[in-house]
Amino acid sequence: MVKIKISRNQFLVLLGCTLVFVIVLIVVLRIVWGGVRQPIAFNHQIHAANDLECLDCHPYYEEQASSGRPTLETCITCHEEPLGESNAERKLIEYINSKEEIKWERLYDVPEDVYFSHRRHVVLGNIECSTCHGDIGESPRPPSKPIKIKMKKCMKCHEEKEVDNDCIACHI
Amino acid sequence: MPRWGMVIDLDKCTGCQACVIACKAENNIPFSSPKEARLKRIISWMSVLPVMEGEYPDLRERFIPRPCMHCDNPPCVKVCPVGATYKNREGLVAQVYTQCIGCRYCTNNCPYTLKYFNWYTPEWPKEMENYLNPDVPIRSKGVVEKCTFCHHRLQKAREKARAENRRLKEGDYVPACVQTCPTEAIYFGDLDDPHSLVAKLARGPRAFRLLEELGTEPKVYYLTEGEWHG
Repeated sequence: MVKIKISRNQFLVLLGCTLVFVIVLIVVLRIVWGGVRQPIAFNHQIHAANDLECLDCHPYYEEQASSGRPTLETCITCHEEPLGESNAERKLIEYINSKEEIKWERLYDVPEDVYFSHRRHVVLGNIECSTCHGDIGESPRPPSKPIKIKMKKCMKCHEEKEVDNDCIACHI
Repeated sequence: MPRWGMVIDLDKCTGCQACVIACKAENNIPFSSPKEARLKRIISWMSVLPVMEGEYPDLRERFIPRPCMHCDNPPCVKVCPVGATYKNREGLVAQVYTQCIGCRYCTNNCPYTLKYFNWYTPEWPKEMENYLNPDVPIRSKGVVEKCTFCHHRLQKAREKARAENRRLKEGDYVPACVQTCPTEAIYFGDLDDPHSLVAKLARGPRAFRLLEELGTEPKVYYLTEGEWHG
């Protein structure tokens, strides 16, 4: 058996390198695999360019707390016959043919103890979707991570608009 | 600014406990087992206290449904070290679960014993999981909870009124217990509005409050004819 002798310093350098390598690997893997992956690479940009409003696919935000995600029925309205040649559409046609609902992953998740109503913010507060959702309407690929919204941001906006900033206004 | 309050007519209460069930269903309160009952760990934001009156054979049983009293001078708020429980501008005594550290000072300081600690992670039978109320959060183990006067209903009622471009009117917002009471023994409304039914009833000769002598100024009034011997 061959014995490799290393000094204490060499050992520390080796240990350091291994640690850095592991950290870099984790970070890279998280970037590549982490976050939310949608079943279909939905292109918001192309839909918005074809004069579709947010409301066409997220039908409830003017009436309810939740905005809703599109059902297969919504997609069929336009995509019964293929409109282009993209992979994403090909996948959609497969869903349509098999009549299987698309399981869209939830991107934005409100904490369990917070009540957030889209209607209250959009209809009553006259807030644009982009205030919280950024330029998602112009993204060609579905984002894997939501824009972080912290309580501080909510409270600042509430302060500016002079609406209730009481804890139980949101934390029910 | 309204000051929400409740009036419970004890002469109308039959002790059917529909309010208790409605409250549990509305607020995602889990069932309790006999073991928890033995340990006095049942969570029931609305609980009916039976009171025996008279001597055998002239016995009479009366019932006192007790939600959180939402005191104007709340003893629980005074002892909370982290500000997880506080009285808001409308007089509702609120509990912020994410803020609560579970020290139970408030539970011990409530003279009405109407604050409840979550000793366990709440669980429901599988069949019921889809029937939980999405407007009310599920509390985690280790926090204190209590009746909120169904505050989430106020949020919704206010939102609806604003969408319809009108002011909140009497009856738009009532807690689940009030809505469900089959004998209509529970009234709810703005105590500061002199024309509201609750304000009129609370001013009447039949009205009294529990442990009034403590000076907690509860906003739950009870009505009964004659002297109360409870």
